[in-house]
Amino acid sequence: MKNFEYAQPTTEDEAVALLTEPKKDTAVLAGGTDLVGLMKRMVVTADRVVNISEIKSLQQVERDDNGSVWIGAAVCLGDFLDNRHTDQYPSTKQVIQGISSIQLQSQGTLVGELLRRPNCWYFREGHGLLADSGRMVNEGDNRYHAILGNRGPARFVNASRLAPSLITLGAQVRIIGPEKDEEQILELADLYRTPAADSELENVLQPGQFVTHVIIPTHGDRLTAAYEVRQGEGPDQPLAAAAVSIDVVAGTVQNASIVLGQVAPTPWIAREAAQLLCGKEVTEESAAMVGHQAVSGAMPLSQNEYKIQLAQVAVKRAVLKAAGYDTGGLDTPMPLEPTVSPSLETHIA
Amino acid sequence: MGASQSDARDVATCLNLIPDSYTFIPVDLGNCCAHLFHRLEPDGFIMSQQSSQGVSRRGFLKGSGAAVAVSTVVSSTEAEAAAPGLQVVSGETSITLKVNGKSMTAKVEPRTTLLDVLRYQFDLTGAKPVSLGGSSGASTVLIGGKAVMASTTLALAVAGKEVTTCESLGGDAVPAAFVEHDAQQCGFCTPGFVVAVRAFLNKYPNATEEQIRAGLNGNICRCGTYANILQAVVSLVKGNSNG
Amino acid sequence: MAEVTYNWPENHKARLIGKRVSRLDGMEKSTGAAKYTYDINLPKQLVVRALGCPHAHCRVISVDASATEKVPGVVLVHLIKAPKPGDEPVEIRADGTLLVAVAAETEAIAAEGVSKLKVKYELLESFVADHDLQAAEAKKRTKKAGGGIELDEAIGEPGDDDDEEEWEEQKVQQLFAQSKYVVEGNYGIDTITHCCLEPHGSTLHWDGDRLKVNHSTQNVSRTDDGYADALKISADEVDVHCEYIGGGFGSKFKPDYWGIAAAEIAKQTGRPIKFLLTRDQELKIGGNRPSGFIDVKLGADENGVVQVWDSHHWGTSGFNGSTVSVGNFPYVFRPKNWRRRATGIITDNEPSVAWRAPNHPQACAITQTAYDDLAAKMQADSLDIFLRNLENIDSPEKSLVYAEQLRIGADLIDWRKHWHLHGKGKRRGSVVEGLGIGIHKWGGTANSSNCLLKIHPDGGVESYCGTQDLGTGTRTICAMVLAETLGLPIEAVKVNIGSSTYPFSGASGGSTTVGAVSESHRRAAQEVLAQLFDLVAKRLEVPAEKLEASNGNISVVGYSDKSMSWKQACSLIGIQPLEVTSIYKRGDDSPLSSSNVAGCQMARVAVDTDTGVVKIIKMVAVQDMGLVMNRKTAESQIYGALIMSIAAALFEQRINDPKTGAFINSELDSYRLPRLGDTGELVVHFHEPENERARGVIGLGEPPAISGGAAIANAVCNATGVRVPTLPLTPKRVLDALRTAKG
Repeated sequence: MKNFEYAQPTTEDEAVALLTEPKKDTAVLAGGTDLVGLMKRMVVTADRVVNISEIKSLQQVERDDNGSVWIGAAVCLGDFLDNRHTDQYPSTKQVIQGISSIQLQSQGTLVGELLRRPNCWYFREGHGLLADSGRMVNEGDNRYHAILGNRGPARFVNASRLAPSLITLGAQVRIIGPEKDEEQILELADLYRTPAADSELENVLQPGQFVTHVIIPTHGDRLTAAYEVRQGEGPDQPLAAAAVSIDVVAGTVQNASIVLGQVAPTPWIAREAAQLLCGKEVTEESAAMVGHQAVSGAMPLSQNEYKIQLAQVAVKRAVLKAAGYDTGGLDTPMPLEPTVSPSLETHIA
Repeated sequence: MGASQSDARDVATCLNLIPDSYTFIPVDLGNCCAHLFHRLEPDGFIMSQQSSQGVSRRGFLKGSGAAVAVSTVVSSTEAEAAAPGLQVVSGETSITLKVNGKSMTAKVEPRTTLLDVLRYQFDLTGAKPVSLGGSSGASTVLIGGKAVMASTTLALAVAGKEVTTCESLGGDAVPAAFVEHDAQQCGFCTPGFVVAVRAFLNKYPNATEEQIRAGLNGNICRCGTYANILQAVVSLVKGNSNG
Repeated sequence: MAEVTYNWPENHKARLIGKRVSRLDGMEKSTGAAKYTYDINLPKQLVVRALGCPHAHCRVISVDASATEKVPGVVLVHLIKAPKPGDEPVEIRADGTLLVAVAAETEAIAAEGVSKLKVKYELLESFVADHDLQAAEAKKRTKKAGGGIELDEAIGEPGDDDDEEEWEEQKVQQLFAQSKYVVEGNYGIDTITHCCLEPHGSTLHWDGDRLKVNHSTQNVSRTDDGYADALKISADEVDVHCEYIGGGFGSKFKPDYWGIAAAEIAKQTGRPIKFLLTRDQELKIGGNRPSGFIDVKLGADENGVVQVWDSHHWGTSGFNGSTVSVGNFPYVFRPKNWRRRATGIITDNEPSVAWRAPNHPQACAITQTAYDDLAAKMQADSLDIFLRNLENIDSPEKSLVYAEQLRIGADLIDWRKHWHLHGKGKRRGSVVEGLGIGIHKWGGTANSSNCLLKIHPDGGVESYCGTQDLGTGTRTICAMVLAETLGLPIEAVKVNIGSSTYPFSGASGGSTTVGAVSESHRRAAQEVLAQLFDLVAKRLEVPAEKLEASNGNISVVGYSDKSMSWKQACSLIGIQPLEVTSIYKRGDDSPLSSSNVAGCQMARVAVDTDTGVVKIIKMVAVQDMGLVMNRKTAESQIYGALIMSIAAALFEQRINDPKTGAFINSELDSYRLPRLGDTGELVVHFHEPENERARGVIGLGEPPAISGGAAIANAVCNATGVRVPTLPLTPKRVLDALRTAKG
């Protein structure tokens, strides 16, 4: 790690002020589960690290008057899992349970997970997000790389496991900075972008900006589910993933949202596939058809054609699971219930 | 979310800003002029900026006209002058950690990890450096009772907090069960596993075998002791001896 | 004193041997008290980090360390594999090769220093496609690696006028023509790395002219030679210590060049040095197991007994270009007629080093899969085909042992209930299940070992032996043997291992350690006890051969009133302790140990044919091992071996970038290993027929780590009806194979 300055603001304003110091390359630290490793690898070489986890306003899960649940940027995955307000978001909880690491659950934050940098080995080896305008990936080993949204130079896949489900839930993010008092609420889906040049990131955050909260609207009776194709248990990167959220009225899907993960430089919103599901009953056939539609634009690289199948299956199974059917695949593990029922509001220690 | 609510948010954070018990103290300067803002505890160890004071944000979200007025009180210039949170640390500084119940002082740079402090300064070498980004879980310790990887935790970020390492678990049922079920071979991953199991059982004391398989995947063992670890954890749940 | 007859106590008399004994250092390991090389902090030590070469094949032209030297806290920059100014460039043949070391006050500073090194490279073309024989031939990256042929005597010999090779070819083709069933296939297994959780390295210092090394080593007694040779000092000037080692698996026998660099840096700086590899360096250069790929053709008779085997295999062990040893093809099985050939592929990787059961797991995985494909082709039960082919194996005397083990294994995995013909199982959604088998063999001869045993006049017992505990539980075995022999509780003996200043004991490689220390410790204890018996006999006025040591007493057999406590007996020693140094030489005929085990493993898996994901439902290991020493730790060895087999069968592979040759998955977030939830139900069965105990101790570490891969691969084939040719069986490979099969 390069040496850097460290600050631990106690308010959002302080954080913004610290992050916007001229001529300083700054980084936001919360759980550290991704950033610290990247700093050790010198992939991130910030001049200043701003630890936002002591900002009280970011430490809570709470409900606003509209029923939306606000998750602060310092709230860890386990606290989300244990909180009663979040029971209405089973698909997100399924994914957190799938990470199945007690350490990541208590150290990693939900917002940090959404902003996890890509796992692309060329990026992590210091060749940049685009790795020579995509050439290293094209000519190299791209078994885990993008099958969708990969026509530009970006070939990595977005690393977030939670983003697909949260996008189907209509989640938004609150971003502050770089100016004092500057604040915006953005659709979570719009947080991500596919970089077209080396100067761009995989998200739209500008220097001096950071995400303070994820805001998840109340979810009514919609049915949600997430499905990850994982080679093994635990925190290792899944091979493909999908999340769905559907409204079913009298056996027929009225509204649907389908988002794929691990397939594109951003979480991949499958609008046409979702549309295709509307007006239909969820059956094995309709779910398979929707899966097929979701990957219709896929363009495999030299070694990742298999991911098209995986993505298709993930969508199909997420749809079936949301509707309460057996996925037909290998069993998913039982969810864990903590013994002590958590208090209404969870504070991180 | 409407503007009034977001104003309330700012207000709430402002109020939380400067609890009475905080004071400025200059800390080991090294070759720079860094100051750390710390809360002095009666026993002399330094807490980082944690406060149980202030008004809960939830109270503000319920709506308080007074709050809006207060939000203008702390101007940016005042905040810069007074706010502890604006202090920037660079170079070497001293911090105090409460490790296994004892106050311990360490000299750290901002980049110093908790793992480096434990291993090199406190000679607590149970937590191991195995993976660069924490995938192995070998450096797991408890901070405030929660399992955290010391290798990806900056020491400054846990200044003043309670750190529990495997070295303090001698009387705990978990290592005893590891010995009984031979849940170790070379043993290099074992302390991290022991701490992770402790945290896991604290949270899920009645976990079934299936839940254990689905919940304890944050640690890597190379010798292949998972079968024995599973047996150990199952026995701990059955024996209800995990308190 | 009468001559001592070495023996093991009878089963009904043994209190410790063969029982479940908890490892003595278990609590130390569980609570962080056990100090590994990485954990030892010496006063004023410097920490070293090195720059690993970022290229697979290049020349290092020059190094500019000026920025590094300016980093506060950097004490020394030391060239390892890099040219001094004005020297010729240095050719590097593997990603990760250590070029320049930086010694600094802290690890973080050393790492920062490394990041500021400026190195000029000249890139050279790299080759890493070890699976691609044609490409390797085109690039002149191949090397002959042996071969041979053996034909049944009945076939005769070539005539004087015959061209030998042509004649052989003709005969082999005739044999295939006569075969009722012919199977052709290709199989493979990728390179994996040792990935020791404690990386290779040392913490060392010079004490005057003496080098004192804490070294993470499987070879405590002989690593001093390596240091001495390289540093041009005498081995008696080097002390090596290793109380605990965080994994070795066959890769930690030498000082390694970075150990030597550490000693040189310590000399130059006059300070203790801690130099262990980083995680990616550990994976890149800490050790790897060679890959193996094979083209096979086999012919079998109407009963499914293989009559002719013809194979060509290749693979890489890095830039020295050898491959899996040809001697084991096909593995365990040995048809009457065989022809086999091997080609080494020269790639730009670190040369391989021994990995738990060198050559065997690969040979097993790429040949016993062909036997299973024969079963598939015949629409036969794989278990039957394995059983029938036991008539032609390389150790015919083991046929019945394998048959019995296969029967036991089949019972334990409920073979009859779950068996179905390949690809014909019930489908639940997209999930199919299958069963598979592998069988294996190993020698496991005890290594040489000496033990110094001291009995103090106050009754204290201490032993010294320059062995090491890789995780096997060596320390516990030593104590068990001493305590059993002397009739004492296990806590009453103080075992000292892990130092080259102790009597020599062989390296832990090839499953030789438990045998070795059992030999040396039993011998020392029996000898010392005989001396003590002589003293006691005189005092009690009974013949020494009537005495026995048990329950902390030395008593006369049959006369319970005539006895002395251990302490009283020891008071007869006089003022100097009784000392015995036992010497056991590997290969010495001994009633205490022997060699050669068989073993079988079976796997039951579930395959999700829509995703290619494979899950282990259950694995069974049936293993003979002669006299079981510690039932608890022996069981752990086998559990661990099964899990390592799962790792290599489903997860692990070194991935080299095809263009640059770089080892791109060298961190633990991309080098996939199984986790606790990936292992299914594991069942271990010790195969102990009546005469087994009489064979004495036989090493156990390697054998159970061999055939699990073949068993899993065969189970996946049985489930899907499709052979996934190369391990690890990743979802991609499973789906690719299913797609190819569909056409």
